[in-house]
Amino acid sequence: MKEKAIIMWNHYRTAIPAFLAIPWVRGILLMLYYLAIMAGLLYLYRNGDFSTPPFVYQGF
Amino acid sequence: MVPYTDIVYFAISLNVLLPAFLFGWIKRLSKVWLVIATGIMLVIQYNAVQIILPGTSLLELWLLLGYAAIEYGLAGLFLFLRKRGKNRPLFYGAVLLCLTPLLAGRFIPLVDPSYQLVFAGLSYLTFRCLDVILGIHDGQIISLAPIPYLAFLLFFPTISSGPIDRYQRFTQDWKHERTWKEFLIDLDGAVHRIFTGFLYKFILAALIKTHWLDVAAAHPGFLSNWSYMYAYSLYLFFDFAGYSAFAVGFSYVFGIHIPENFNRPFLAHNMRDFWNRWHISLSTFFRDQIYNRFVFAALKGRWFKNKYIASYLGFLLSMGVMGIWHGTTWYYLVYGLYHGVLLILSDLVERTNKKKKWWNEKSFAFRAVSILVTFHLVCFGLLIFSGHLG
Repeated sequence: MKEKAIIMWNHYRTAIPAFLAIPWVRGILLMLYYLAIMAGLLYLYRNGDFSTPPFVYQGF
Repeated sequence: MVPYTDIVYFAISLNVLLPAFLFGWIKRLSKVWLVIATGIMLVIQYNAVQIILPGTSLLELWLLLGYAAIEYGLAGLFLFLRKRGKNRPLFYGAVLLCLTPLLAGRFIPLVDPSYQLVFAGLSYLTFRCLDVILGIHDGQIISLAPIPYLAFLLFFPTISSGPIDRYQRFTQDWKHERTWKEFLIDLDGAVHRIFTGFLYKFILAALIKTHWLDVAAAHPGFLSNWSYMYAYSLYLFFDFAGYSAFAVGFSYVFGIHIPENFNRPFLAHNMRDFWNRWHISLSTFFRDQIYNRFVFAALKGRWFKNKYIASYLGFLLSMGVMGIWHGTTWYYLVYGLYHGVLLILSDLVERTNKKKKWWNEKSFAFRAVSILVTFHLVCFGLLIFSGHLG
């Protein structure tokens, strides 16, 4: 049982990064990532106030 | 104007980033535009009037340009004298002069608060100036042309808060003409980091601040402080990592590959690992320029019988300086010394375990526990750093 789990774990550990490295898969995922960030920005700053909390390291 | 904090800054930046993109595309005038863009952005960023002492005010830009001119003169003079031979007192003098503006800016207001000599980014500029002085001393920098030096010192994406670049690394990018493929890779990296910056700083840090940090800060008590510790740690990380992502992304558009500042720091499995992942450009600077130099001098001069004592004092010294670099308040010094002590303990435990084999360092359980323990030690350090306990 444990050996089977290790084999599966090793399989997915190599298969998933290989799948994500396929150019069209990476392109689609990146596009979704960027769209999600834009949607988040639009939702949070929909009232027009785009200012953020003070940058902590600015003072140093 | 504070960089990367509001829409106006990004709207203005677009006016210098788009031409940079076009010049990169046609492979012409990229470096000329870098200088012009830096000039434009500095005029915008340093447009505040600063009252440096009662009755005397000055535009921040003049303070900055005056500082840059003095530092270039100092580095040029040191290079000229260094070529005549190594001279230790001269080197110490150059380092001291290089540090003088920052030391004066930090300590004079403690005596007389009416003097305000610090301008935005001074401490980061000091690192870059110091890097050049040390590079000249080590014989690694043998020429110092004014345009690359000033471009390195004043490069607008990193001027206010890093990441801290090195002169020799910067000049490699400065001299390099990007191929079409390299340009596309840079562009991909730039877009990715700018979006990551928006995610970290404008979404995650902003949400943590509004819905967690401010709420925890408003309620006194042990549990609220505990909650504040996690909230502040995550807020600081997303705030600073977001800023750094913007700075790296902007730099990539110009073909300058400034170092990354963060690499999943909360997954560190011990304190040394943490400092290889958190504010990397700062910790690398302190490791190379303070810790390594101190330990090397101590071993060469046989200052201590045990080599570990040299290393441990090196930890305390470099981390103590790192702490006080943040400011002259007590909790910054305590924060630095706290990390110095943790680095010593971390090394002691690791070495003892190698001898006594208490646990298997490669086991999953050990790694999980060590990540959890390190995370809490780091968070407690950041709670000290926040000043919330004072």
